[in-house]
Amino acid sequence: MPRLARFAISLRQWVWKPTVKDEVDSELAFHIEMRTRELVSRGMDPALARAVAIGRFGDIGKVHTQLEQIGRRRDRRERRMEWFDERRQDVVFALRQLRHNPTFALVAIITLGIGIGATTSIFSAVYAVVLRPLAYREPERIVYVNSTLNGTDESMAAAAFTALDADTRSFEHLAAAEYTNFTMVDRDDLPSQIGGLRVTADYFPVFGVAPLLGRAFRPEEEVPGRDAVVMLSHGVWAQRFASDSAVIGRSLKVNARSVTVIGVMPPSFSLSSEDEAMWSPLALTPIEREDYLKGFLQVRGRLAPGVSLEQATADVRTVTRRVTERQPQGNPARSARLQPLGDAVVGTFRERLFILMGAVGLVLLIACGNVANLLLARGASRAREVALRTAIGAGRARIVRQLLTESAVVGVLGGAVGLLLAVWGIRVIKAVSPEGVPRLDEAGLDWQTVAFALLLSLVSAALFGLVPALRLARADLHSALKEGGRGVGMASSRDRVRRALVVAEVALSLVLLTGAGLLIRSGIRLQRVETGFDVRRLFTGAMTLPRVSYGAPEQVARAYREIHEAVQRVPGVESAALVFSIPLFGGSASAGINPEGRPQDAASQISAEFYIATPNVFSTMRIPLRGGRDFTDRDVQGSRVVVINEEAARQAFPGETAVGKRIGFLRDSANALTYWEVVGVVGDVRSSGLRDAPRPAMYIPLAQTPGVVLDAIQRTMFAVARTRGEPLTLTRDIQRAVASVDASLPMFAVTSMEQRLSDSLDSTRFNTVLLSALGVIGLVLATVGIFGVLSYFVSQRQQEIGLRMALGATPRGVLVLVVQQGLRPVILGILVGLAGAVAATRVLGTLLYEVSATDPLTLGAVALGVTGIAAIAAMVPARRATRIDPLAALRE
Amino acid sequence: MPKPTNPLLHGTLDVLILKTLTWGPRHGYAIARWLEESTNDEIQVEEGSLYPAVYRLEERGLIESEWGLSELGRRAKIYRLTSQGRARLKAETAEWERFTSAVTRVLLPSR
Repeated sequence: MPRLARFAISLRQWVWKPTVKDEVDSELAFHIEMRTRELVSRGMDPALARAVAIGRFGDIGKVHTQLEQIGRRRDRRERRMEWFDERRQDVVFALRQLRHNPTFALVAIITLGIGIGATTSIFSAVYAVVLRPLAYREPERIVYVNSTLNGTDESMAAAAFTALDADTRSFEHLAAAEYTNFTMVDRDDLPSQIGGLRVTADYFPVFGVAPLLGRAFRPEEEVPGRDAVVMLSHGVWAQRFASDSAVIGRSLKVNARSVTVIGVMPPSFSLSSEDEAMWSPLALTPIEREDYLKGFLQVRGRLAPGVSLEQATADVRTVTRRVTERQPQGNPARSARLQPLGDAVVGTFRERLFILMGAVGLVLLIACGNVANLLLARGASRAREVALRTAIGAGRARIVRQLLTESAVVGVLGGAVGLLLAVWGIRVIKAVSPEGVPRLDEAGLDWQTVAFALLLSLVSAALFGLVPALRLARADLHSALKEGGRGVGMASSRDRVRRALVVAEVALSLVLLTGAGLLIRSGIRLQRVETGFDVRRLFTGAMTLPRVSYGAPEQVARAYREIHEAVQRVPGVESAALVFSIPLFGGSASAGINPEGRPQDAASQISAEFYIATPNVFSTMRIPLRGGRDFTDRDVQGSRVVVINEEAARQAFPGETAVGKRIGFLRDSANALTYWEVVGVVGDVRSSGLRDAPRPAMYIPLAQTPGVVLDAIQRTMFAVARTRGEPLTLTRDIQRAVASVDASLPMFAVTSMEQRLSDSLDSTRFNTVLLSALGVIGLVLATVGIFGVLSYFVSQRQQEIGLRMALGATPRGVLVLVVQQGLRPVILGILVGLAGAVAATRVLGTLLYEVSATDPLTLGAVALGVTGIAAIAAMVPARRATRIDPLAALRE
Repeated sequence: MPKPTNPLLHGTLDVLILKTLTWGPRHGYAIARWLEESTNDEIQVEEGSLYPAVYRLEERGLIESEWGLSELGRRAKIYRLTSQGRARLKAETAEWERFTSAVTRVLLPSR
């Protein structure tokens, strides 16, 4: 075949691509035509020949369809391979581009890496704490059943739980748990405290998790005397028993009793490895089961199949109402509420973590803005190359695809750098985070986090790559080829985009920094709040007396009196006392009091925090005495005296002196309300945290505390000691003083009050530190962006600047010109940012303390700060502009 | 019209098509005619099986096609062996020889 003809055919093929159907039609038609001719040449009638030719195919329709199918399959595969080939080419080309432009590559990848690294770190925490499903069977069916009084959650009394267990129909399993301290004596006879729960037998079925080893409790073990068994958490089993599977059946000494280990739970069962390390059966006597007053029970339930949360809530509320009405001292304001497990566990953390997620998203946007700016800057020099490729036949779509692949490569490389940074970032988050964030220790680079980082890389690539790619592909061929890449016409529109990016970046930085600034101001305000007592040089440590050796109140009183004296005698201790409980400990008791002279019914009760104190508590803690007196050794069993705080006095006896009056609370064995005489009034103490206003509080002497109450708090008391030097240096001595009274008594929760205060501010600090860090990163990135844009502006306008200088502009004038150019988008960005900040900081709501979300001082300070930094960033390129040699520039 | 007397074993047709193309590129009709002529019309190729076999060979990459001008002056799809096809043919031929000699030994034992 002549070469020209072949070429023509190939060209036509390339231009006109027939469909598969057309091809098959053509081919079959040709065959039939040929066969017909052959038969005719052998003498057959043409019409018959054609029929025969077709007939030889059998069912020609079927053959046609078959061929089409195969043809289409082949086509698809070809297209796929072509696509992959193109992508591979693109990636190779992109990598080569990066190698030839190392500064661009480095800056872009690092910028992106910072953005993706920060976002991935926080996502890892969000996933571990909030998003990851709990390791229980159908966790959405598990609820917390809380008793409420006037809407406030409280723990449940045993009688209430017994009634719920018997009378509700909505639960497949219902269990009660009580927080407990287990004193375990190790092999080397050193006592240690382990936090855990006493639980009913239905507890583990509520969560639907079977023990890893051994078995769970049985209902018959809920009886006192038959309850000498314990279950271990996976953490305790690994740490103290070296994961020995022979631990089942071992005998341990716990709370001065011999108990047998019957089971070990799998890892990830306990939400808090410290507070839930061990379990023992909740063995209540029949009397205790009907006790309406005693009970610090946490109730957990699994909804029966088909029962909704609303139905179960109604059921529980009905039973609660019935129980309350049956009780003489039942409070009609008592009700109940059901909290799904997810909400109860994650609670406030969800909100806080999502705020951080939002903030870090802003940082990522700033980073993408910077990379987009870099790409736009490079766009000018690549216009020529792109124009050439278009001229020789590459389609627009192909070019855009190739440019996007370049962005994707930068994105993925940035993501890899981000993952490396995230390893470090996750560690930082864990270190800075407050105590008690559930499951945070499980945050790490699991596959979900890595997948998220990859997704981020690609999304970022789309964000920063799309606009530059489209602009470049749309470039005007002629001017690009002519000007050799320095198209001035294009520059102005590209400049506009870059300036818009700077405005956006500055605005985002402003929002971040405003948020951080508000939190910092909150933190400072919080620090200055008066606690109500002197926190300096105050040692605190807790002790729990086991029931076995200290069953009677007299034994408890005597033991603690001796401990009080022993601690007082320790050299370095200025003054000491014992109290239950201490501020900021996070577990206080409360009781309802009826002031004398008012109706003695449940509705007029005042809820007050309940403290047990030895003499000297107020002087040791330096809680001011506002009237009356402190307890003395003469306040022994027999009389009933109480000291209340100012807030209680204000509520119980408004406008009168409280000293000498009486208040009623607690019932004696005959179920009659007991009355206590107010002998002193002390200042208010912020006990549950600096944010909350002080509540009414009352203190009764340890010597007069009824056995029921001592049992309820498990005979726990805190030793507080004002020391001459650093409180914790006396830990050993104080512990030895306690041991001198009872050698088997460990001290736990040992810290200084200052440390407790600082810890309580931890969660605020967490948000403040992270948000500030993000704000700074955002500002740094935005500053780099401003710097980049201005440098580019200067280099592009060399001719213009040279001309101005030649015409007489002073260096000062040029400086001002450049800085002005730079600051204009910044000012606009600040204005936009202020508007954005006012809208966005609203979400900080509950995190702020006495600072409004639109605090003008903070907004003003941040705006000024950003302007200042931007001005400095503008200085460097501005100085460079002044040094342009006008002659050289004009000659260019 | 002579009916096909020797139904071909599945797979044999593929090998025959490949062999046909060793003598040069051909279009589908030419392949059919060649087979008929070479076997003195002993083997009548059913058009209904020929083209699917050819298409499948192309899908497997053993032959490739391109549209060219035919004797009639109109376009026809012309098939050609690929190197893969050539190798495959060699292997199949060797296999066939082994097979037929084994069967021959059974059916027609040399005396």
